[in-house]
Amino acid sequence: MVLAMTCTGCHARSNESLPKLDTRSSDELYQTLLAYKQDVRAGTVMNRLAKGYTEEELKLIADELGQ
Amino acid sequence: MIKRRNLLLGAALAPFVGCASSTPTARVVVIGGGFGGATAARTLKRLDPNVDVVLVEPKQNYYACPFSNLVLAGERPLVAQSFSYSVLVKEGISWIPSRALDIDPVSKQVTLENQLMSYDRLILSPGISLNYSALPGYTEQAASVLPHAWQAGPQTQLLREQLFKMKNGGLVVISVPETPYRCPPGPYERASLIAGYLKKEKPRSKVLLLDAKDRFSKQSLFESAWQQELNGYIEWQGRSEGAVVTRVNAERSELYTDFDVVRGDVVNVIPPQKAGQIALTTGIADRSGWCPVNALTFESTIAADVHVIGDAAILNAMPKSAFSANAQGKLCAVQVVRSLKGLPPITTTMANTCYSLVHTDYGISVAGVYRPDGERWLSVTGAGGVSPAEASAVVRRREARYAEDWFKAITSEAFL
Repeated sequence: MVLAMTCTGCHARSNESLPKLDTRSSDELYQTLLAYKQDVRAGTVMNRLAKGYTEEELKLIADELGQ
Repeated sequence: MIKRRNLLLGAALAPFVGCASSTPTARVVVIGGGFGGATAARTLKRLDPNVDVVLVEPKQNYYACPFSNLVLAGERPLVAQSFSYSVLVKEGISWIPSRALDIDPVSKQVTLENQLMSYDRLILSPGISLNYSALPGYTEQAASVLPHAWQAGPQTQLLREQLFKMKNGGLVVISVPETPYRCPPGPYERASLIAGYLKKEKPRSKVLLLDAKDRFSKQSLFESAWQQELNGYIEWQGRSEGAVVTRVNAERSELYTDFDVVRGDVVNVIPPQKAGQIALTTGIADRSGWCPVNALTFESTIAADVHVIGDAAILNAMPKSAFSANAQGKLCAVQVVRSLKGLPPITTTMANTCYSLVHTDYGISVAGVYRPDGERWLSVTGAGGVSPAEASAVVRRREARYAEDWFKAITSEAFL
């Protein structure tokens, strides 16, 4: 909800390079965010951002933005 | 994206959203149509179509500062930085092209050029004003000779023209103030992009940064990029080396430091800054020149029912950036709508992401995550930070492409 409002500051449907979020399932988004948080997946800013959110917050964000 | 975003907000805040009726339930006046104000106005209207949202902004077109350093380097037309309010008007926001002259928080009225307007809540997003009195010799008139280009538009055009006219072998001097100021890494991105232009077009020239600080944003990343990509084109001097600019002579294009007088062929003075003029006139800014607010609601601690967002507000760990202003605009709109409904503010986590370009294929980023702790926004420890010191050209190029998408996303949220 309010947490996910920050994400759309970068992620928009018009994006060419940054991933579009609303084409993914909530579960896929959550797993991706967790992988960034735990540094299992290498990204750029997303690793640094995901570490600042709790797992519960990442779940809320993924539920909000995903299909 | 707009449809999706509507859904997103609609789903999240469904209890608030009714059908727009002919009698507004409340009026929220937003002063300032930049990244903070425009985003706040649009978010308010989406959250509650029954609220009468008024945007007070005198300029017909807003010129975005992010990416304006590319204009200086000839890599981007100035028109690509220009945004109108036509979409906002279509969405039902009343745009009044006027300056706000005064605010009376007791009678809850704003004085505009031709009218008085009452409000239930006021959102103030006035950006910065240039603190001319803090730099002797630098005046509005001096800025027409030695541009600041720290508010985009005609100033950007002026500095660009000066750079284009400069002879090969010329010296470009950029003076950088002490913090806080708008866009902490901005001066160093600017130096990079100008140096790239000089390297290509006027290779016997260089950029000299005279900095009032000893440390700066993304410093090690910039310094190693300068060495690798722009070797010899940028010289940085900090406070310890006596580089603080204390006086300006615009007629002679000279900057005075404690030990030296530096003459530039092009001189870009980024002066000390304060909150936008209306915040100063009304005393909503404190003696620091910036506006103290309640962290969670952005409500001024000086004037009730006045919320301050963006560069003008004191938000502690959150930097004065377009992304911060945009994120604060959204959260402030939520808090204002809740307050109009008699609901308590909600707590949340916010983030900031800023990209800087060393050149068009070399991007670096800084990110931060913030939580309110009583009256302050604090950085979440263990999160945030800058791009890695060692990274391949592929990663730098990827961050440059992300920067372009960042610009598109943030400007479409605010204006398109």
